[in-house]
Amino acid sequence: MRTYILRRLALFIPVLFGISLAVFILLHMIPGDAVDLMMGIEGNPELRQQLLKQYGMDYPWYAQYWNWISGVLRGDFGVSMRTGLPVLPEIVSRFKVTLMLTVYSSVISWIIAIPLGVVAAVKRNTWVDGGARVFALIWVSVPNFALGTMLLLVLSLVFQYYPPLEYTPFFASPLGNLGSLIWPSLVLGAIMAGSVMRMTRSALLENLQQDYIRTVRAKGATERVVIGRHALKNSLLPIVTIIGMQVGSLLGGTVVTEQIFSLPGLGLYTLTGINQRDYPVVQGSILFFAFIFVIINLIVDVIYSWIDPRISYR
Amino acid sequence: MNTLLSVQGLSIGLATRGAKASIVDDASFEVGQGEVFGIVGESGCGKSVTAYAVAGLLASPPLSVESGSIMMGGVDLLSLPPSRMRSVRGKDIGMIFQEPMTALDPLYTIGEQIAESLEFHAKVGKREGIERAVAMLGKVGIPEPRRIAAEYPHRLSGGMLQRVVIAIAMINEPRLLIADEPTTALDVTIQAQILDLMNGLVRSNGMSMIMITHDLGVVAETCDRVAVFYGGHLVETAPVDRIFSDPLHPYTEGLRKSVASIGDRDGKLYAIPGSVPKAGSFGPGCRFQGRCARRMERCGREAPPVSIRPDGRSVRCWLYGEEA
Repeated sequence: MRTYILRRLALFIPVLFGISLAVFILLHMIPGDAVDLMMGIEGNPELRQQLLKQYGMDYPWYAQYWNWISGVLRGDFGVSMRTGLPVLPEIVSRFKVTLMLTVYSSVISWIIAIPLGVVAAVKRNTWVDGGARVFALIWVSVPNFALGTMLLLVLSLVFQYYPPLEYTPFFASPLGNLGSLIWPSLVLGAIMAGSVMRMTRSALLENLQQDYIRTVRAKGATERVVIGRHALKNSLLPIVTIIGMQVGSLLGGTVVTEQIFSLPGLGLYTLTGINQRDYPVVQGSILFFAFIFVIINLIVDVIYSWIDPRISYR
Repeated sequence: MNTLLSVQGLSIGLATRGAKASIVDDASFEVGQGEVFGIVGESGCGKSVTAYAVAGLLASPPLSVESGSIMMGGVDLLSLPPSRMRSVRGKDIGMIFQEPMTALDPLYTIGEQIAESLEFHAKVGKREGIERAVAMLGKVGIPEPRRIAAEYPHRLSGGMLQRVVIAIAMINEPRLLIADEPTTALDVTIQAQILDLMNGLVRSNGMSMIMITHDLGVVAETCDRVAVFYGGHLVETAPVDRIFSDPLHPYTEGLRKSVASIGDRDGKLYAIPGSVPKAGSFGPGCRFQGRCARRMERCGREAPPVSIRPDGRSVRCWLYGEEA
C-alpha cells in the first residue's frame, strides 16, 4: 500500500507538468494579453514595449514558460500583474476559505443525503420515497445562484438577518467562521445532497437484491443489520466516487456562490485573473486546482481499497 | 417417526400488475424428525418458493402466502410476528443456497460472517464467535480453518464457499436445514463431496433436511422421502425407493424415464413432451393434462383431488381419484 501511494505521488510529476504546459499554451493562445487590457484603446507602441519588458513578455513563449515553471519549482509562483502581490500566499489564504466551505457543505450534504437515500430505498415506491425523490430532483435542478439569492432574500426580508460580509477565519473564531460560511454551505450542501441521495438510494436498492442479503436474512438478522452493516457498506463505492468528484470540484472554488455571499475564495480569484489575463494568477490557481484534484483522486482510490478487500493495489 | 414440520394447504400467490398468479396451490407435506425430505420439480414449479415460505424469506411483495399453515414444534410459523420469526430463522431453521459465489458478503471475512450467525441468537463475544467459527470450518472439512476464517470470500473457490455457507447454516445446530439446490452451481466432482458432507452432518446431528433439487440423482443419493411438484401443485409424495420403482403420477413416471443411465447405449433419451405453462395460465382441470400420456376426458374438466393411498403415499391424479 505504501509503495502504491509513493508510486502514485511520483506520477503526479508528469501529470502536473503536462497540465502546467497545457494551461500556459492555452492561456497565451487567447487573443489579447494583459498589456493590451491595461493600455485600453490608446495604442502607444513605446509604452507597450516597456510594459512587455517589465512583465517578461518580450521573450518567446517557451522562454516565458521556463521562467515561470522554474520559479514554481522553487516555490515562487510569481506576482500578480495587476496587484503586484505574490500569487502563492494569495492562493493559500483563499484556499483556506474554500476548504472550510467545502468541509461544511460536504458534511451538510451527507447528513441530509445518506439517511434520506436509505429511507427512500427501504420504503421504495411509497409516498416517503416519492417525497425524497422529488426533494432530490429539486435540489439537483435549482441553479445555485437562484438558491443562494433566494436564501439571502428570505433571510433579510423575512427574518431581518443579514449574513456577515466580513469573512472570519476558523482559527480566529471557529463560531464566527461557521457564521460566515453556514449560508453558502447550506446552498452548496443542498445541491450536493440531491445527487448523493439518488446514488445512495439506487446503490442500496441494487445491493438489497443481491444473494448475500438473503444469506444475512437467513441468519436471522434484523433489518437494521441487513441495511446498516451489509447493504449500505456495499453501496459505499459509488457514493464515495460521487462525493470525491463533488469535493474535488468544490475545492477548485465556486465562483457564483462566492460572489453572492462575498467570500474571498479561490473561484473569484481565478475568474478575475482570467478576465484580466493575469497570467501568473491563472496559471498558478489552475496548477493548484489540478494538484488538489489528483490528491482527491488518490484519496478516493485509497478509500476504495479500505472499504473493499477485493480492491488491492500493489 | 415424530413430525418436525407440517405444512398444510399452503398457497402462495404472486402479485403482478392487477392480477394475482398462484405460484403454489394447496400444498401439504410433513417432514419427520431426522428425515431428509426431497422436493423435486422443474424450474418455476414452486419448489424453492415453498421452502422460502417455510423460512419466512418470501420476497414480499410480490410473493405472499395466501392460505395454509406451517407448523414447526407446535407453533404456526406463519402466525409469528417478524421479530419472533427472526429468532427462528438461523436458529431453528438453517438455509443453504444455490449460488455459493454470491451468497456471502464480499466485504467481511469468512470468520466474521459465520460468527454473525451466532451473534444474532446468543450473547457471544467477538473473539469467542471467531473461535467457534474456526471450529465449525474444521467440521465442514475446510483445511487450515484459522487461516481461511481470516480470508475474504473472493479468495475461495465455489466448493469451499459452499462449505462456508453450510457452516453458517449449521453453527446454531438448527432442527431443520433447508438446502435450495446446494450443488447445482458446483462442479460435478465437488457435488458429491458437498452432498456427502451435508448428509453426514445432518444424520450425525439428528437434524431434518429439506433438499430442493431438480436432480433425481441427488434425490436418490440423499433423501428418505420425496415430494414432486408440477406447476405449483404437489403431485406426489412417496418414499424415495418407491418414486423410482413404482411412480404413481404420470409426471413422476415421465421424470424417472428422463434420467439417462450409463447402461443405456442405444435409443433416444426420453423427454416429457411440451413445456411447463406459465404460472397463472393454467385452465380448469389437471395442470399436467396438456403433457400427460394418460389423459382422460375428466382431466380437462376438474382438477384432481389429493388422494392418500393405503401405504401413506399421496398423489394428485384422477387415475387414483376414485380411491380417495
